[in-house]
Amino acid sequence: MAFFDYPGSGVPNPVETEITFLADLSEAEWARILKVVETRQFRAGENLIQSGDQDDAFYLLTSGEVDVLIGSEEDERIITTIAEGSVFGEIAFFDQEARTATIRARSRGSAVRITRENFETLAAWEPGIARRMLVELGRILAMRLRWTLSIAFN
Amino acid sequence: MSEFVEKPFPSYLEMPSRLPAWFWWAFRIATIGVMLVVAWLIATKPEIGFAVFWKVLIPSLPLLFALAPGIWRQICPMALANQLPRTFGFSQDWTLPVRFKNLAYFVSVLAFFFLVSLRHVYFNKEPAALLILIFGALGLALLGGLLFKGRSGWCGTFCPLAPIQKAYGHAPLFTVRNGYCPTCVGCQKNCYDFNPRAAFMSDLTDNDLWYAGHKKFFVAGLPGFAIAFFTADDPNQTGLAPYYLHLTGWIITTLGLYMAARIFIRVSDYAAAAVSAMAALVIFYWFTADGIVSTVAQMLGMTSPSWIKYPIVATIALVAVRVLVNGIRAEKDFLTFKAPSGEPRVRVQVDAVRAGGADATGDLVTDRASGRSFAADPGRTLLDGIESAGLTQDFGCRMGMCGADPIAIVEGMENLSPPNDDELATLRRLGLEGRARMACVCNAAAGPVTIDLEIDPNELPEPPPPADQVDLGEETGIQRVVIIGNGTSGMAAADEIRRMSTSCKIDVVARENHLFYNRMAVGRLLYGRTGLEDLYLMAPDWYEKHDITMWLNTQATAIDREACQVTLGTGETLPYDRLVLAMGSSAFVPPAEGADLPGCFVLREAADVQAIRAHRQEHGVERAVVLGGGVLGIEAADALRRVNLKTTIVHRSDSLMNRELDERGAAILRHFLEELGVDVVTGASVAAIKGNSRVEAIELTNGETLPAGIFVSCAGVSANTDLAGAAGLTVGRGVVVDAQMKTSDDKIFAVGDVAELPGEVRGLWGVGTSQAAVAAAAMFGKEIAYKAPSTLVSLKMDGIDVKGFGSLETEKGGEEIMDAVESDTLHRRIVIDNGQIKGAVFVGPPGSGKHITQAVQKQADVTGIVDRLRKGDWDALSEV
Repeated sequence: MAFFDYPGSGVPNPVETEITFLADLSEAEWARILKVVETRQFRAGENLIQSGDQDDAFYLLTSGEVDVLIGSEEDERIITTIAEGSVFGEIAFFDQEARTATIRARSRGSAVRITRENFETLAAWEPGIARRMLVELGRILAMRLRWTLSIAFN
Repeated sequence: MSEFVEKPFPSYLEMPSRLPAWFWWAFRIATIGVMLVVAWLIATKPEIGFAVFWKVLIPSLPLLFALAPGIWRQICPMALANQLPRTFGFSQDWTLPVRFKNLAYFVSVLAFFFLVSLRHVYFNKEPAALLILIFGALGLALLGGLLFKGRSGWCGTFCPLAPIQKAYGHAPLFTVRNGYCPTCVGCQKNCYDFNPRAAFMSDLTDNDLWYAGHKKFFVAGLPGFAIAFFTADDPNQTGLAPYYLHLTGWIITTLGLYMAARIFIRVSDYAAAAVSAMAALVIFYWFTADGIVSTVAQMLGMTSPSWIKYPIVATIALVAVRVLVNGIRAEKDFLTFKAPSGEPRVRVQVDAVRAGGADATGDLVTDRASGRSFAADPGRTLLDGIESAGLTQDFGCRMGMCGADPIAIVEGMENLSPPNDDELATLRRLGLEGRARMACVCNAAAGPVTIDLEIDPNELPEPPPPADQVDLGEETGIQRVVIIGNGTSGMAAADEIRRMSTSCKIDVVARENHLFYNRMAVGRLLYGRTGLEDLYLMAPDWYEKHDITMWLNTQATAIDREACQVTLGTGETLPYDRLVLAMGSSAFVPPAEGADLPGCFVLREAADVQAIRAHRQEHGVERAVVLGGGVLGIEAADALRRVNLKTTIVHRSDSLMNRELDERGAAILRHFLEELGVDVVTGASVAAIKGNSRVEAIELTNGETLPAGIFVSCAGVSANTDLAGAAGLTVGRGVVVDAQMKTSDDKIFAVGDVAELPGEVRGLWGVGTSQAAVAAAAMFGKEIAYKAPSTLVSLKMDGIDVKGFGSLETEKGGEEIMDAVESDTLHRRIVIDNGQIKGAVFVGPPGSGKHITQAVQKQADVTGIVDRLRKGDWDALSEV
């Protein structure tokens, strides 16, 4: 919220904060994606992503809830909770750098896990879907960057 | 939520006008009137004038600022002067340049400091100076209003009273609607008139630390300035230097205290600033309360008691605390509302994804060490599940035969699909019967399962003693067996022989310096984190437990058939009762010019991979050419691609894997490879390998030249028959054997790639192990009818399923069934003869070929489902 949203003073429009990832894909197209990517099942307490790991997958949380934790093992803090239906982990998918947070399941659930290698395979089988996926991931990054900028310079 | 929470920081546009506009105009005019009267008093009766101005009017302002600064901002004579041009429409309405906006706070703070400090010097006693000050300020305010738009010419920018208003009035107890701006023109940053409750907080939390720092500096120095001002000696007596030293000394003292407090006490910038400002307020009244009361009393002809200061200061302190509480409460809301309204969220249409196959219900298979789980899915192998869970598991043939991927079943063995004969044989060989399964062929059928990916040999039961069995070695007198070669067939032979005889001495001579390892996976040594130890197929103590003597890194140089002994490169000799030749084959290197240049490789053994890695790193190679578009060539190209070598496959035939696939299947495979960045040249071979001191380019027979620093030949293999030939055994393309795997010498057997059995496919795991079993039995006089295993050729590459099996010929009978509609991504074709699958081709996305694989491996009777297959119902294969 801006406190000084002077009328007509060009305060930027509110940042878009919700994206539906690949909203126009049909079930059949999802089935084709799922052939080449990984589906993780997990239990409560299981780590999907471990801070510091080099793992270049992004995740679609198809069921369950997960916590995002930062800090050392002795001093972990939950910074947020991710709900069913969210997409996360896309930064390391692109830059392949070490994970900065741990993702730990709060409940039993499942996630679709898409690594870079999976993506290359998908691109080979389904270039159209892969292209759309890439643009969507770009859109997610752009949205999150805009949000970050809006915090940094608000 | 209450309305307050929704809008705790209303802008003036959102505030109600409690009093009509005419009232404020009347008030303003009255204020001007008072001011003119005071000015007249200063000019004519300075004593009264000064007392009223400095002892009553000015000292009452700080309290007003703390309680309801908006009142002052409505009635301030300077504000009126500033807003006159705007109200009557003769302002230039210029936008104050950004430079001046940035400078304004400096100017106003400096002006505040000097004007206040000069009270002791001029303004407290010289009427002319004070009048100049008053009217000068009015004039400047008017000038600001004439030139600049909104309130940017004075009130919010240069006015020396603005900083102190914001400091004392940082959390006003009462707000008053700004009556000057009919519309907001957005003339300044964090405008105090626009949003009085949020302005100071916004200043302090501004991301521009320089901007926020000015405000902190001012409030931090304010208490010191107040103390210093009231405790200073008269500068007219002491001189200006000690006076200003006194002032700045105190300012620096409270600045320092503020900074120290900020370091040691964990409070927000806002809270610290608010405390400092309120301290200044209390200090101010500590020194002025007496003066105010006594002056007013004097005017009324009364005297004030000497203790009156204390209740006044106490009241002021209460007000200060009230303002502090008000502000710190508001800060919480401020921070909540300042945060962008909601973290970005990315949604995925869960229903669509789940319908596509990602389901979370059902039982799980769990890896005990990592705690990771995957769905217990009867339609998928444990290996596929393990990989889907992001766990790494070494694998080999994916047929349950090589023994690369045993996993211990901690719990839920009964929930797994029953093992077939191949798998049982492998488990037996590994000594893992009953506790482990081969991940690649075992499906989690029903119910939860817990697994261990790493099998701890110490936890395993000892191999069952063959006590009830006859020791065939003892019975037949065969007590010394030498095996040359420790690959698949050689080690299978050792294992089989040991099963038949515990007394027989078994020596295995191995050219390589490694224990039996998964040669199919050497490509993985090129990329990934696999080390050679991970590829060992038998635990190191297996050899000891089975009493098998390994001669690693040792060449067999001659076979003396007369003396029945093998001469080793070390000079030693190994006598034998029976000899098994399992030397395998070597990659064929085309006899092209330059094939001996550094950079020319084959890819069969661990040493080859190490050489390729070293060459690539040493010379910074970027491009590679693989000769051969068969299974090995494509797997090699995939490995090279994964280490970011731009790779081209050169294949003599017109289509890839032409022995196993048809044209359609090959076309899909080729397209897939090309999508991954692997180029494919078909209908060509290598004409010459060019380069000065190492490989630089590959000249093809079609005239093309491909730049490449690495050349890998995967263009077929030739049996290692030199030793056998020198010993006088009958040798054709391989060492010729009969159906018992016996060579032309009764005491010598040949198995695996080195053997030549008419009509047999080379290079397959199952063939080598089956032949080893036949040879071992025959050695002890037991004839097993050798039956070629039903083995698919499968491309071991992530991201694609490619299977080929048998023959697609239908001329001598048989029915062909294939996908009616050509697809770019899926090709299935099988030939059925007498209810058996005789030939098959499958190319498609990963995992989709498993039904065909299973049906072929089971050698299932498909008569019952032929109709369904004809209609394109390929899933029917899962039911046979």
